[in-house]
Amino acid sequence: MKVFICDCNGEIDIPQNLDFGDGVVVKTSSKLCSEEGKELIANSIKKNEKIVIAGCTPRIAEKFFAEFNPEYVNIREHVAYPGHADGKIRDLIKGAVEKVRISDETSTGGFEIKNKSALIIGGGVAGLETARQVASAGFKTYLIEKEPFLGGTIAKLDRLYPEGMPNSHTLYPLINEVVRDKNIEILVNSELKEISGEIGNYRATIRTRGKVIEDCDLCGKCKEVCPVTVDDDGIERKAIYYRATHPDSYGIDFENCTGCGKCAKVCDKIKLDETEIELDVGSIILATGMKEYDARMIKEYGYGKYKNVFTKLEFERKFANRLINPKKVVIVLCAGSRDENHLPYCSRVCCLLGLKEAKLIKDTDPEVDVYVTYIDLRSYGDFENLYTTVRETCGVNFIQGRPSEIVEKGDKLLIRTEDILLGKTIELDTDSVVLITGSVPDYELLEKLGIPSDGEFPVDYVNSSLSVDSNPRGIFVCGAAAFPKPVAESISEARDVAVTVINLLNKERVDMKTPVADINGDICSEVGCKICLDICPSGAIYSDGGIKVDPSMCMGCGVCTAACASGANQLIGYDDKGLLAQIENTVKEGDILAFLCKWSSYNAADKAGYEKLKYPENTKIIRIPCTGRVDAQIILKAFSCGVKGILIAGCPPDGCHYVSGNLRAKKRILATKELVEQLGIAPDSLRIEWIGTEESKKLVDILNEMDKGGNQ
Amino acid sequence: MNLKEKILADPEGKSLVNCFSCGMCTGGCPVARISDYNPRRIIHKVMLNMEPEDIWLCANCYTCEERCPTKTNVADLINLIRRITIKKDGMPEFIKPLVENLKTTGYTVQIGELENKRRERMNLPAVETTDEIKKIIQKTTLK
Amino acid sequence: MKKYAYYLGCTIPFRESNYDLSTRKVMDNLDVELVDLEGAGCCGLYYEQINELTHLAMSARVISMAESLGLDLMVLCNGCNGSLVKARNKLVENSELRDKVNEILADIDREFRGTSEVKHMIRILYEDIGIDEIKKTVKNPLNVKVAAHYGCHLLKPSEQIKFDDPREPKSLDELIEVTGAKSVDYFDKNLCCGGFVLGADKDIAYNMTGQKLQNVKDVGADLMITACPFCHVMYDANQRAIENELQKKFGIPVLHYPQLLGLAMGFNARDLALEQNRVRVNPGIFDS
Repeated sequence: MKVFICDCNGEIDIPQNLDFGDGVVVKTSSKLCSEEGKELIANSIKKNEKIVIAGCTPRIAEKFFAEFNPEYVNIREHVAYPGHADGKIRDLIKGAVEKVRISDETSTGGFEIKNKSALIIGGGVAGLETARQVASAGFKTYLIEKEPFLGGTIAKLDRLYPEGMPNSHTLYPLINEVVRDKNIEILVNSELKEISGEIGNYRATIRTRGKVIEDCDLCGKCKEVCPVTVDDDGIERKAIYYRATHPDSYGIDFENCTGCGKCAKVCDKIKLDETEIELDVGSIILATGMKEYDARMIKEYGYGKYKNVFTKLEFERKFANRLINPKKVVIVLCAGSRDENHLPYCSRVCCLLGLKEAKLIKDTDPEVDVYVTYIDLRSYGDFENLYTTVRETCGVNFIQGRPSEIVEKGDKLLIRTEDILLGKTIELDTDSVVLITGSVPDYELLEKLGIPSDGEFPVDYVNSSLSVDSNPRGIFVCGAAAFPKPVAESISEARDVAVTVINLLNKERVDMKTPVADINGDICSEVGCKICLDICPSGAIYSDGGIKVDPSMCMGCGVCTAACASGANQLIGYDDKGLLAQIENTVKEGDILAFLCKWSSYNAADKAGYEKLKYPENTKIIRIPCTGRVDAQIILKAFSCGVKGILIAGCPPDGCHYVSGNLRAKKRILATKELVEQLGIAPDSLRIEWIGTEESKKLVDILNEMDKGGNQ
Repeated sequence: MNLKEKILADPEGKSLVNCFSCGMCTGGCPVARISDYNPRRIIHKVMLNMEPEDIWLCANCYTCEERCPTKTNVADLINLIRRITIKKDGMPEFIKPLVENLKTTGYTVQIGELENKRRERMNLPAVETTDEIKKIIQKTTLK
Repeated sequence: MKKYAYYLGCTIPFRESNYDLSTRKVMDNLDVELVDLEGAGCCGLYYEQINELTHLAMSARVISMAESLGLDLMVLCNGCNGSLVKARNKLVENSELRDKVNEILADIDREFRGTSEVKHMIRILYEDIGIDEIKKTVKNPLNVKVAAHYGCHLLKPSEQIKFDDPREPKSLDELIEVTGAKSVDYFDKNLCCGGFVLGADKDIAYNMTGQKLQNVKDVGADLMITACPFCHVMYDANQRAIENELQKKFGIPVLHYPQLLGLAMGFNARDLALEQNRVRVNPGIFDS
C-alpha cells in the first residue's frame, strides 16, 4: 500500500517520521495535483495497488485522482486550516490506512455495451422523436407500438395547445422521417412481454399480433363485415379500422377483436396470428405516453351514468366530428386530481388541456356558453398567455370552486359547486360537462422494466439533478410516461434522452461511477430477511433466486448495509470491517467523532476550515456517502474506543441525495440512543443533526457544545 | 388560547390544517344550498383566527367529510367547535331542555304515562327511567 | 338462531313504538331473538356537540350492556348508529380514553371492553341474515313503488361505518325489492332529512324535508321507507306542518322498513301498528 501526502505548497505541516506499519510506503509532495505529482503516483504504484492520498479536501482531490481509486484523507481543510495540531494528521492517515488494509477490493465494476441498438416502447410523439434522433446517429432502433397505428394520444386529438395547432403539424413530419429512416424498424400491434439482461446487453421478448397488411387499397370490405363496434374515446369505429398516420392500411385493434375471422375471409392479406420475437438491444426507452384516470371512479360526477358527461378526449373528438352540438358547456378542471380519494397528485397539464378545450369550443362556435371550474389555475410560464386569451378574447366564464356533485334533472345536468369568490353555493345548469381528469402512470411497464415509482410517476428516477452522480443506466423513461407534460416538452425530453442513449451506445464500455453494495449470497440466504429490498431508496435490490443488487441502479448510499443484521450486505468502500478499523485507528480517548455526509455537512466542515472558525482539536471527521450508512455497530465501536461524543450530520429532511437515507438515519440513531443510555452513556453524547453545505457556523457550534458536555 | 389553538390542541382537531379551500364541502352541503351557511368559510375563518358564524346550522350529514379531498374532517371539526364554544359561552337555548331531560329521565324526552300505557296496549315492555345518565353527566362535566 | 341485544334509543319508545313493534314481529319471523335492555337510556348523540367525554361514556355505557349479555347490539336509529359506532371505534383504538371512560363507568358498575359490535338493523338484515333467507319468509309480495330514504348515519361517515357505499348504496333498495316492491330512483335520493338542525333553524330543516317529499311525489312513488325514527318523525309526523309551512300538498305515506317487510311476510296492518303512522296509509296501494 502506498500513502501519498501532499503539503499543498507548504500550507500543511507534515509531521516527521510517519510510519504506518509493514507494507506501507509513504511519499510526500508539495503539489500532488500537478502533472509531476500525478506522474509520481502513476509511476509508483503497481497495478491494482491500494493507495491513500492525504492532502486537500476530497471535493478538490477527486477532480485529479479519481482514476487511482484512492482513499482520501483531508488534512488541509480539516487540520491545517483550523489550526489543529499535526498529531491529528497521523491519526487520520492511520485510520485510513487500516481501513484500506482490511477492506475488500474497492475497484468499481463496469459493463460492456455489446448491442449498439435501442428499443423504444411507444409510438407517440416522445417515442417517435427519440427514435428519429437515435437512428439518425447511426444506431439500429426498434420502435414498438401496441396499437395498430403510430401517433399515440396526439393522433386522436384535433388541436394541440397553446396555439391550437392541429396535430398534423407535429405528427406528420415526424412520422415521415421515422418511416424513411432505414435504421428504424417499426413494429405495430406489438407489446413488450419481458426483458432480461443488463445495460448494453438486454434481451427483450416482443409479442406481435397480426401482420401489417401489404398493399392495402383501403377498400374497407373488412370494416363492413367486422361485427365488433368499439367506442374509441367518443368516436365509434369497428375493431378493424384505419387511422391516417402510419401504416397506411387497415389495422386490427386486438384488445377488442373477438377473433371471429370474418375480415380474413374477405381479404386474404389479413392475418390474425401471434408471433414472438427476441430483440437484443443495448438500451430501452419507455415512452408510452398518457393514460387517463378512469372517470367512472368519481361517482359523484355521474360519468357513465349521465349521457352528456364526457372525458376530455371524448368531448374533443365528438365535438371536432360534429357529433355533439352543445349550447352550454361546463369544463371541470382538476376532476379527481389533488384528491386523497382519487389521485393525490397534480397532473400538471390538465389546466392547460381545459383551457385548450374552452378555446376550441369558442373558436368553433362563439355562441356556446362556456364555464370553467377550477381550484387553482396552473397555467405556468408561457401558458399564462393562453389563460389571458381564453378570458379576454374568448369570453369564457371562470368559477373558483371544485364541484361537489353533478346531478341530472330532466334533460339538464346540474353542477353543484360553491362559487368561492361569491361565497355561495350555486347550481350551474348545463347540457354538457367535460371532466378534465388527471393521468395515471403505466404501472405494468414500469414494473416490467424494474423502474421504481412508489405507485406514482417515476419522478425520482428521471430526476436529472440526482442522476448526474448515478451509475449509467440502460433504461430510460421519456415523455408523458415520465410525468404528464405538453407536447413541446415531450419532444425536448425525447431529444435529451436520445443524446444520453447515443452517448451510451457510442461507448464500448461504461464504468461505474460510485461504489455499489454487494451481497454475499451464502450469508444472506441463512437469514433471508429481505429488509434491504424494501429499504433501498433507488429500488436497486431485487429478488431473483437470492437477494441481489442491480449495480446500475445502486447509488452507493449504504442504507442497506446499515440495515443488514447478518453482515451479508456490504457497501464497497464503506464496508463494516473497514469502517470499524478506521474508527479504532483514528480516535483517541476523549475525541469527538463526526460522521459527516459528503453532500452536506462534510462541506460545511471544509467551509469552517476556509473561514478559519475555531472548533475542538479533538474532533475527528469521517466522510460517509449518507448518514443512513451509520448503524449501531459503528456507534458502539466508537464509544468503546473511548470517544466522548459522536455527531452524525447530514442533509435536511427533504434534501437527502438518496431520497430518504437521512430519515432512516434519524430513526436508527434515536433507537440507538436508547440503547447507549442503557450502557451508561450520556444520551446527548450521541447526536444526529441536519447541517447543510453552507452551515459551517452551525457545525462549529455543535462541536463546541459537544466538547463541553459529552461522556466523561 | 384562541379558538384555532384550542382546536389544534385537540386530537380531533388535527385535520384543520389540511384544507386547501376547494369548496367541495360547501358545494355538496344541503344546508348551504338553501341558506348562507358555508362550512368552507367556517374552516377558513378559524384558520385566520376569526369568529365563525352559523356553527349550529350544520345538519351533521357528513357529506362534506365524504367528499373532502384533503381528508379534513369538516363535520367533526364543527362538532369540536361547538364543544369549545359551549365550554366558553354555555349551551344554546334549544339544547337545554334535552340536557335537562337526560338528567331527570336518562332520555332526551320526558317519559309520560301516556307513552308507557300505549306500549302496554301494544304488548311492548315499558320504558324505565335511569339516573345513571345523570351520574355520567355530573361526573364528566365537573369543573 | 341469531340473538342480539336490542336498543331503542330515545325517539322510538316515546314517539315511534310502531317501529319497535314491527321490528319485533319481523325478527321473530326470521328466527332472531331480541333481548331488551332495561333502563337503557340515551346513546349520548347530542353530547357529541357538548362534551366529548360525556358522549363517549354514555355510548360506552349502552354498548357495555350488550357486552354483559355477550351479544352484539342491534340499533334501530341512524343517530344511535353513528354515535355508538364512532364512540366504539375511538375507545377500541385509544386505550387512554378507554381507561378514562371506564373510570366513569365504574361509578355505575359498568365496564366497556369492546367485545360487542354495534350494527344497525338494516345491516343485520342485509349482511347477517341475508336477502335469500328473507325472501323465504315473503308470503305476500307487494306491488308498490317505494322511495327509499337511507338517511345519513346508516352509512356515513363511511370510514367509520364500513357498511354500504354512500355514493351508490344498494342494501336498503335490495331489502325493499325482496318484498316484491319496486325501489324507485328519484332526484336527490341521498338528501339528508334535516332533522338534526330542527332545533337550531326550523325553516332550514323543513325546507330539506319538504324537498325530498316533493321529489318523491314528482316521481309518483306510492310511499317512502325510512330506517331511522327521527327521519320518520320529520317525513311523517311533521309532514302536515311542512305542507302548511311550504304551502304544498304531499300526502305521501311513510313506513318504517319492518312495516313494509312485515306486510310482505303476511302480517296485517294492525300487527304492525300502521294506524300509528300519521300520514294515512291506504291499504289498497299494496294490492296486486
